[in-house]
Amino acid sequence: MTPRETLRVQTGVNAALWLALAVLLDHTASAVGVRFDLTQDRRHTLSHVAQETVATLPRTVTATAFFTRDLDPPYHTHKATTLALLDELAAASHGQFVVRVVDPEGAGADEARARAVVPVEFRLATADRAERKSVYLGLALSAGEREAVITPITSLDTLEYDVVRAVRKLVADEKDQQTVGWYTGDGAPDLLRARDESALGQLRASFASEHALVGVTLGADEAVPDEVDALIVAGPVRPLSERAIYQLDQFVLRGGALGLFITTARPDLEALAVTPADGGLIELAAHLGVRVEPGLVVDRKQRDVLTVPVAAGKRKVMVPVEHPLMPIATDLSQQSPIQRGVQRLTVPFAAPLSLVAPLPPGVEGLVLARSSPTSAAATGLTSLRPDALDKPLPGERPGPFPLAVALNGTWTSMFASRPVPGDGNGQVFEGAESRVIVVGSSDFVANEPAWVVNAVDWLLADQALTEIRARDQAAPALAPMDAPTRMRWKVGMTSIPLLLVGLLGALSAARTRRP
Amino acid sequence: MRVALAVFRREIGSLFGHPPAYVALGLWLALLSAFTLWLDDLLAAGVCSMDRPFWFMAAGFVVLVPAIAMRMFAEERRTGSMELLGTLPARPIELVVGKWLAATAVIAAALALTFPWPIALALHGPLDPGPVIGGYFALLLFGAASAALGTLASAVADHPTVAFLVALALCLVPWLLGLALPLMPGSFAPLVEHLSFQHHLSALTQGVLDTAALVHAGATIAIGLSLSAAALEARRLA
Repeated sequence: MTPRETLRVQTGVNAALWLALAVLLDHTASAVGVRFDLTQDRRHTLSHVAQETVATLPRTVTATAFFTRDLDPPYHTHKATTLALLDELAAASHGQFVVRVVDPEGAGADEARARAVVPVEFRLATADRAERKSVYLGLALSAGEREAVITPITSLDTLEYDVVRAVRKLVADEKDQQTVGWYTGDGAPDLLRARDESALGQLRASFASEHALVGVTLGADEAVPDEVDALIVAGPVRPLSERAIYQLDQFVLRGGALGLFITTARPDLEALAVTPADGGLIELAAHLGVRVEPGLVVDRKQRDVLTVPVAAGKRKVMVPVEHPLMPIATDLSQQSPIQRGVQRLTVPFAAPLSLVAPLPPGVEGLVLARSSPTSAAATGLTSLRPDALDKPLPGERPGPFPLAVALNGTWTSMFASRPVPGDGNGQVFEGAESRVIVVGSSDFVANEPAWVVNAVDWLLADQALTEIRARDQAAPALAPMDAPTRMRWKVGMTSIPLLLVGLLGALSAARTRRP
Repeated sequence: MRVALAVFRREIGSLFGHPPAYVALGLWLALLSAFTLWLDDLLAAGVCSMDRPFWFMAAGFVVLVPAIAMRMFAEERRTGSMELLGTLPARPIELVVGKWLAATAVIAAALALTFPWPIALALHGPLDPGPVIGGYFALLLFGAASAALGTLASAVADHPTVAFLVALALCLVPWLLGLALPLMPGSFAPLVEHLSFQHHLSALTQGVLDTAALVHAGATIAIGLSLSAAALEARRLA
């Protein structure tokens, strides 16, 4: 063999060995590799809450994973990621969290059926075919007789939250199960009857998976049901009766947590008009410590999109436009776990709020969200046409304004020195410790459902889950910029690196030319 | 190693002493700005993250790295200075490592030129430094891996243009694997995913430093450099 032939053979063998070694190492490293979390809030590391939950389990929880073998993309990493999370939980649990893996298409088919882990269908498109596939992506958790099922696992981003929430629910005593009440009278949107796919339907699913949910009507003889721990009153458009207000007052004084989403305007997107609305809650809110100011918040710079009908010939087409009545709040208190990590909230058709000064004795208040300094409060609005709101309106008051407020403490009765409407038996005059949230918008509920779920967790004083969810927020937002500022920054960001290259090139050329 | 460093110094002087490197860097930055800031408006999107710019930078590397690496050996061969290089008391692997280090230094310089971007974002929002550091590290790592493939292309090709096209093809392979992932059957998907650049780049830009990414890039660099050295040796004996 000539030296060249020998080298050719050597090169070939060398290449094959390197390739095999690389593939082997790659595969091994992916299976047993070590991961380091570089993020500030350690969002890729098991949260403190999750660790504490499994470390203090009062009884054994068994997690059984049901995954189809060799799942096709985009679900191909779901099994590995889920098992990695379960293994981390097991490691932190001192043996109280046990992980099982079952083949749902083999020996575990009966168990999957019995535990209501059903396959999900997804459309698979390869180079030469498109087909629907039925796959298992499920997790069943059990503690004694109690069982919870998470299926299908489609989002890995919220997996830790979903699993920890299910575990906490499994080991909670029945008496610990908290109940959320949703006010359904006086034209308020009915959460319990909302369509599943709607934002309210999804909000209902979030509540129902964690708490008991009941509809509440007020005004008659019955008070807020005893089992209700937190009551949400979102957007009644007809005034609540005096009796209903009395029942809310007594509910708070007995230690119930109250969320008020107050609307002062009814938008009609078809007619592009807005009419005043009065849910009769303004006096109660003021008694609790939050004044609902007149008018609506308009923001001509920091605003979100609203889909409005626009004439196109004889027809009308729905067009998304940046609308001044969709103010974006970026001044969000990071003290509150409700919105830790959240950088912006859209508060549609918002009434400006203010904290009563001084607050009632024994009550603490925190402004959660404030409109931008470019916002204003306009009164007497009748039109929703964006062009009608382009210029400042007569009598506008400059912002910023509080848009959401959290209060906690003890209150005295609003009816302490005025006649009780109806039967006043058992009236409470001084209250137990409670929590209240007031938001100046009812459309906010459908617009920011994650915030509302967090708010309910806060009202129920279950902040642990709120903290996990806060880590799952998407990347933080940039401070909003107006178009000229954005243009200046874009020009700067484009030109500075190019100028640096030019400078380096010029220096190099000068050095080369030097004799 | 001393020889490799001497080659590195010579190569870096050559790269930064001629206009093509600046033209390539300028074009890369101009295209990056055009796509990231003007077509896919990063500032209007309102997200305080370097995630999207990182993907455009990585995509730009598929062309930038072959443009930097194509001259390494192919140009020496074309101008006849390869024979001179062959007279140096250096082993092929030392020549290869020196030139590859120089290409990697140019990639690092290209990345450093984009530092004003995260600074600008940090001035407008709470930019998490972890994913930014991870993203730059990932780009340097996979830029170095692409440079090793570019070095191999330059070692086997006679002409810089051919070297550029071969390097472009080689650098595209790990990306194409990532793009082809949805078409892969489930049993192959994990392996194909770990061989693709997208998977590792995605983890690093989200702030997860995984040893699998280091092994993947390290293995690609080792393969590229060892085959380049073997190719040079084969040519020397020919």
